Amino acid sequence: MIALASLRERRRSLLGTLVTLAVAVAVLTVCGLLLASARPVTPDRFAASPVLIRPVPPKTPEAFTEPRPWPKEQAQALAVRLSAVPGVSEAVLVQRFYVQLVRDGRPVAGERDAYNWSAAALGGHRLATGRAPAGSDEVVLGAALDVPVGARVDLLTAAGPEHFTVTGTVDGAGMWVTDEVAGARGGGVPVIGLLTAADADVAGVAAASAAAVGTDGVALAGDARGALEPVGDARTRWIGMQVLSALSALGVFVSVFIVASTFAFATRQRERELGLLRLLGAVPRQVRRWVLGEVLLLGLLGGAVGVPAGLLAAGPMARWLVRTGFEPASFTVLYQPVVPVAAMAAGVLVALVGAWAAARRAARVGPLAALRTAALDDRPVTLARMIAGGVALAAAVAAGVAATRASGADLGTYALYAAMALVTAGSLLAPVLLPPAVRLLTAPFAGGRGATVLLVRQHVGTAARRSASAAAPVLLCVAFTVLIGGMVQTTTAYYGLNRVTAANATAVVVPDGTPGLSDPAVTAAGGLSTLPTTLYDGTEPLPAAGITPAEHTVLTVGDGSLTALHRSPAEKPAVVPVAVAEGFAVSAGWAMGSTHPVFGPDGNLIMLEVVAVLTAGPLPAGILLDRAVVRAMDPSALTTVVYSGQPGPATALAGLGARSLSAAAYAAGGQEEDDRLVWVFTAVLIGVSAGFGLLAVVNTMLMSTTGRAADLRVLKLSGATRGQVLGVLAAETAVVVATGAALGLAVAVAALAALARGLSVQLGVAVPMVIPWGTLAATVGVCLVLAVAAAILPALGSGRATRPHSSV
Amino acid sequence: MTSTATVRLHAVRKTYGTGVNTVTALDGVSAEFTAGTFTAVMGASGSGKSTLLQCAAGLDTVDSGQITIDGTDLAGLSEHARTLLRRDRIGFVFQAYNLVGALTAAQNTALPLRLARRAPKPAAVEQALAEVGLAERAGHYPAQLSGGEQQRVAIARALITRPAVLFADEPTGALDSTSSAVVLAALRRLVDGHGQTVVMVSHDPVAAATADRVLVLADGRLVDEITGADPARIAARLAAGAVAA
Ligand SMILES: Nc1ncnc2c1ncn2[C@@H]1O[C@H](COP(=O)(O)OP(=O)(O)O)[C@@H](O)[C@H]1O
Ligand SMILES: [Mg+2]
Repeated sequence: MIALASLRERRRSLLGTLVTLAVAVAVLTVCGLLLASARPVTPDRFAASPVLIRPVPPKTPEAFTEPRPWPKEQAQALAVRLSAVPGVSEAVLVQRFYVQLVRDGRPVAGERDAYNWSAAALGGHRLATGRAPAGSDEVVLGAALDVPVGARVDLLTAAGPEHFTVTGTVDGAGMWVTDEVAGARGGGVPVIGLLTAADADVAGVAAASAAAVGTDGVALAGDARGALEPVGDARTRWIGMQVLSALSALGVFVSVFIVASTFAFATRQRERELGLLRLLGAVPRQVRRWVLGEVLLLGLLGGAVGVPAGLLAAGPMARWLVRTGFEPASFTVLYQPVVPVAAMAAGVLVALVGAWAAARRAARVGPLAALRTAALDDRPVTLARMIAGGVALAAAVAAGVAATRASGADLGTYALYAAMALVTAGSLLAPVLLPPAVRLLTAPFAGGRGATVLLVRQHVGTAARRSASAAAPVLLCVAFTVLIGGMVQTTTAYYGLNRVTAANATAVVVPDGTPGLSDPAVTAAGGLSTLPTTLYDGTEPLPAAGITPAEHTVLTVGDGSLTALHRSPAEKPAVVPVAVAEGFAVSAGWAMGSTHPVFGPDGNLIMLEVVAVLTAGPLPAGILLDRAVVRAMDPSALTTVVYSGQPGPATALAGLGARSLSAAAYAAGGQEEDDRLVWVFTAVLIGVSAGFGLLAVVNTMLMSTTGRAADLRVLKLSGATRGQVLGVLAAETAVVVATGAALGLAVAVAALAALARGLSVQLGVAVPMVIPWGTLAATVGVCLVLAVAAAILPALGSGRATRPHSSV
Repeated sequence: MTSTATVRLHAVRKTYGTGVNTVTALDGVSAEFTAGTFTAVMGASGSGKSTLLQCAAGLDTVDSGQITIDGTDLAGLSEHARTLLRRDRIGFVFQAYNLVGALTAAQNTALPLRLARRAPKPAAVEQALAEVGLAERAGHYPAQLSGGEQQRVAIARALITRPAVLFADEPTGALDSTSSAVVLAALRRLVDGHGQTVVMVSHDPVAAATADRVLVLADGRLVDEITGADPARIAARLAAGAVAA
């Protein structure tokens, strides 16, 4: 009854906590649903094949590389064995290579691979019109591409645009050429699909084929076939998971933080009431139970609002994730009942954890607190609080250091952890930092005769912990936005520098609507570039790249010679010469002159000989080969970027899926898909943290003024005009916001400086720390306006003379 | 040292603060409050009246000396045990009415029972309010009551557990003379009609004259004891004491 009555009485001040908890539960529901839904889907092109065999995948799935394919001969031998498995009617080799349809001079988005016509059966695709491809320049297109039979089309391949004739169309999406063409261009075999009789026992076939391939591959059946989704999709999904996990973590952290500061505040304001209850016979345990009971009710209430909101928001959110590119197009929400239940439980847990400290403090309030009239906040900051602050600070430094080593979405996650730890440290230590900071801030006005400055200085100074509670959400808001924004800008500056210093380029040619640049685009761009590919040490991928003698200018040789890289194969037919990065050489134990057996991108075993070790400078990969060697092994390899000395020839690039940028525009980032995702990620995190933070700012200010009604009445009775009272309130709030913002900025700048230093050391070039001034100004401005409004609003309402409320 | 003493203080000392800021609030006070008596404690502001009351009620700890309530020695009791003792054996009324704003008069009155996890009987709550003349205001919130009425609700609340002793610290301090008279009459009726033990701090001779006995404190020491006096004589004795001191 007491908890309920008290909740009713303080409903206005608790509204903010309730909204926070509801939002947090909604965020958790959405993120939980989306995370639970984010699972790989069997590609349509394999839908009709109940059992698929693929090579053994790498042990580290985060590498997002295709498993090493089988060489064609090995795959054929496997297919023979698989065909003999009972129930299997056919074992179909899959071969694919990079192809994009060019329409009106622009590559068409979507399908980026052509397959051998035999593999069309694995997707259950049947000809809708026309006939199967027969000649080397014939193609069958999915009806989705909307090209009629008989039409001549341009297909962009790694070798450039080529003319094909459409001989047929099938339902669905895809491109198919003859088995001979696909076999010649496709390199190794990435998948063998099995077709079975309609009544075959799938599990039995899967087990028998697994036995048939032994250690050469794995058999996938049912949902496990989702593992064959394109690696790009897997990578996108992984980034999406990072975003959702970060959002969930942020939601939980900020709600715990807000509940904690709200209840700490409320407990301080209710000390007399709690003292009275102790006076009337409540034992400490009872007091603790009330506070927790109250917060439990709030948690349940927040869940009751947040869960339905989250369920409603999940659908639109899923579509947004697909649109922004965080999830592949096949993504849909699976409404699993466990998620809302878990979100509800998490909301209650968050509320209880947040209020725990406050409940303990409440239980320590003695009965004499009821008799104290003034609320002088004279208790010193406890040692435990200082230690906790120090620990949080150390955690922040650790996260900051980890952030300097991370990249992409990982960086965002570490930035977030650093910000969380810093905000915790900042608000724990705020009562120590706040009074001197306020004194410093208001020192220039201290000499005046007016009452405002005196009141502000005294109030903030004597009620340090209370003011700290009010400043904490501002600190949170400013630190999060500045740190996240600054970290991304600083690292973008780093990557930009990294890219441009690499080639000393004035112009850069990048893919435009394609996954990479074809050979004619590279030639037309006329600059420095590499041809990336993947070699395999057993099942594990080794990033490698092909270069020409032109690229030697940007490489520093520590040992050996780069010319040996391009020697004629006739010289030493059995080995392939390579140059290795010093770092890679050390970690892999590859010494100058040593030879190493590895698998090529087509799955064939080759022998590498180290002819040069490279030092310094950013390298595209650990292993460098002759460009022609890479092209021979990997017919579909594409170049990522070309650095050139002069602005790109725009006309020459037309129709090749490439465009030219100035070096400055390129360095500024945002051109590449990953950059764009990181930016969206940043915007989402800043938006959510700022939203939560502002909620907390408004909430604390409303509570603060409501709790000071008596104080303000006294002020009015002592002769202050209404304007003066509001002025004091506004000034006090501004000082609290300013100090909170200063502390927030300080922690953010400290972390950013560390980050910039870390990057400078990595790159060997001074990386400037970027402080996002615009973001800072906007955040502080919005905080200030909302805080002052929230502080003044209750005071405007209490202008009427009211009978003195009971003394509690 | 009769066995009828409900509260007994022996050589109680209480200081506040440390070092140069040390204030001796009680300096060796011994006193007894016999069951069914009404005692007033008087003295100048800062003489230690409130401290005496708080220590006697187990709200605060003492530096030395002994306090027994209803035969139980307060020394060595845990905070939990002291809370239970206060809850069951002691009632309080203070100058500030200390009602819970969110609860009605009846709910405020029943609060100590609820805190003790005893189901409040509506009849008992009604009777407690009736004893202080507020039967018909049971459903009102504190903000809807006058100061005198709020203070009488506080008295009703203090009585609901049928405590061995009722401590009141300047219960009429914030009231006008009419309201004061009503509150004092209510206290007197409790002593006469129900044999309630009452200890009341006041610096108003009129209020003190309602009591059977007046103890006078000065600088933390008991300096005088007056029995059965009227307001004028009490005022005269206080004035004489002040001159003598
Ligand atoms: N919490 C406290 N801290 C320090 N000094 C106190 C405290 N409470 C009372 N005192 C001091 O103890 C003395 C007695 O106070 P008190 O018992 O309240 O006097 P009275 O009620 O007679 O006015 C005074 O000098 C007062 O300043
Ligand atoms: Mg007093």
